[in-house]
Amino acid sequence: MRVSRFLASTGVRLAFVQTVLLICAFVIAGSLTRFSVTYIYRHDVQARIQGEAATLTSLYQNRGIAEVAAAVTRSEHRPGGLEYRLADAQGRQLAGDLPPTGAPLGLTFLDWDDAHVAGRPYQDLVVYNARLPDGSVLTVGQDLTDESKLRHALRTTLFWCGGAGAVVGLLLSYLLARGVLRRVDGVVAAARAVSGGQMTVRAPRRRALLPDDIDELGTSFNAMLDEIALLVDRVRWVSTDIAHDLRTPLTHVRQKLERIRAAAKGDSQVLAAAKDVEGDVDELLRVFDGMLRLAEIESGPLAGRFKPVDLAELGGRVADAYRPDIEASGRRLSLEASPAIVEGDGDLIAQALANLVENALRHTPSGANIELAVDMADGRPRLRVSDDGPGIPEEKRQDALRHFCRLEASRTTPGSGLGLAIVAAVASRHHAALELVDAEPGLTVLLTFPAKGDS
Amino acid sequence: MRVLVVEDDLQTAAYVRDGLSAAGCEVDVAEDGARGLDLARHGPFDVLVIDRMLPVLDGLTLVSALRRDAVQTPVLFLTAMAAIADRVEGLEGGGDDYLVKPFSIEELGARVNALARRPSIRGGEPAVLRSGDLQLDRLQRLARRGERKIELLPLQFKLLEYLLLHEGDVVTRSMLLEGVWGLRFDPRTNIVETHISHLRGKIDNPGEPSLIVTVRGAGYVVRAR
Repeated sequence: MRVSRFLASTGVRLAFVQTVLLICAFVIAGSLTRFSVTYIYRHDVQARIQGEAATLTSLYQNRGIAEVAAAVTRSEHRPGGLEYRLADAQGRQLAGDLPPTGAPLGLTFLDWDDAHVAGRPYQDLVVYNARLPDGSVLTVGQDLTDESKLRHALRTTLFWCGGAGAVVGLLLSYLLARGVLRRVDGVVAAARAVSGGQMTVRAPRRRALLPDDIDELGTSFNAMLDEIALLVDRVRWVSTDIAHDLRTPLTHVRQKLERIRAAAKGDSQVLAAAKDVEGDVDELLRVFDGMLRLAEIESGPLAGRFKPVDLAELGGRVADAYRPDIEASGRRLSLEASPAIVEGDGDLIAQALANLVENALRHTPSGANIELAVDMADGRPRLRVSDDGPGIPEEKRQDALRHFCRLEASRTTPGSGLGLAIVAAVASRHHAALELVDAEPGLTVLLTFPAKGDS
Repeated sequence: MRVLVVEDDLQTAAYVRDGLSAAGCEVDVAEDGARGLDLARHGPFDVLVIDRMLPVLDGLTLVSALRRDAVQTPVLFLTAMAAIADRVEGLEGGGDDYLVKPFSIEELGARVNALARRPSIRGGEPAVLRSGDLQLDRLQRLARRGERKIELLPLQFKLLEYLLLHEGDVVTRSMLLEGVWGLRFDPRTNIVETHISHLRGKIDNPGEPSLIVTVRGAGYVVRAR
């Protein structure tokens, strides 16, 4: 499975979008949680140290400064306890481990990177300074290292959970998308085969307890193909029936004409009339055959029989067949062919090429040069028929090309039959591009087939 | 030559019978597929002319039944089913030639003749083809008229070869288009006529009537006098 093909799948794109959303959600949730954890924690700490300061202040009022100092010394060494400093009005430390903070009275958050107190590192510290009535200052603080530990733990948890979620999500989507892609590929392959003319191919079906959307797609797709196959069959039956119903009376007309001719015993008037009618019958048949042929090529069950065709050999055959006639009419035909193999129906391509040569013959004055070439253009096999006749003016070329694909063109030009419409139908059946180019002077018709493996 | 015609359209059957009889064939007619199969199995026929759309048993089934029974009599499908797919189906289904209605009796006669005298039935294709003092060496790719060497283009060689392989029999325009140029459609120009006239210019002796005789309304025949 090619990477680009994989990335082009809807499922994989969806998985990517989901993963990005998942990561965004984790980042947002993490930031919010971190914010509220910090807020609650600090609020809590604040209440605790203010409470402790208030307790110690009331202890001072009841028992005096010595009791406060004793209480500080007691509390200080309790595990998980707060940090204290008690200094007299002159700033001399009476109790507690905290160094002077330099903080004003009230609540202050300190950022003490790399400060060590009693051998312990302090990072962030929140302190509350209260002045006691005798002018000494009581500082109660709480180390915020726990908070940063909490934040770190939170970050780590969110990071790993989010990462694992994203990886697992991607992996699951990959597996799911691969399965879906395989099944979609089955439907696509069936569609290609059918448009390539293998009318019996269907999308693969699987036995599923709970059919999903792709099962449904396959089922409707197959139903559609059944319907198309039925239609193609019906069209074929109808044209066979029409062919039979029209050909049988025409066969009789011809037989009767022959009897008339035999009975005429050399009466030149009767013979001429019979020949006239025969000509009309032949023209009728030619148009009728052309239309049926066109319908058959366009409806396309032929493609299943495509074989490698050497355009150079085919071009050579057509050129050889037409050369004496073209030369007898005072024109010249040249052939330039290098090997070029296409997958196709040789009879049809020969007919298209012959129609183009006949077209050039019909639309050039005596003395014109007609050139037939087979070559490769950018790896694509190409047939080219050029003439140096009057050509088609630029503004009418698009029109002419459209006429190739329409019956009207041939209806207004007697004698051209359905030749050009057949060329267009053969081109489209082979996925070949049909172009009209100015040959300066004259007209060049290009029939460019798909490169090998592209059809 | 004995020919069996399996055709349900009575007018056409009569026309074919009369036409082929006039050309010297002995013709039997069957009006449905089952009867046709029965006759074809037992009678010694040189060629079978079979319609594809037949009552009781269709032409294609008839022919595959015959081929299963190892009856190798050449079969020409004469049918209104003219699509490319029909033609391929007919030829792959055991037919040896395929002619679409309406047809001219000359075309049918020429093709029936060609089938009956196919080289495989005549006993292999010779390396040197002759007609009177015209010689065509297929291995050395040389043509000679009496003592005179004839220079032929590859396509002219192929055309003359085809005519000589059917020496004495009429070959039609469409048989030549198919057999020599591999073109299975009707061109709107006289390409066959022009090629024949060029070939005549090369092989004929000045002042003598042409070796390649035009049969009006039918085609050409090479016949030694």
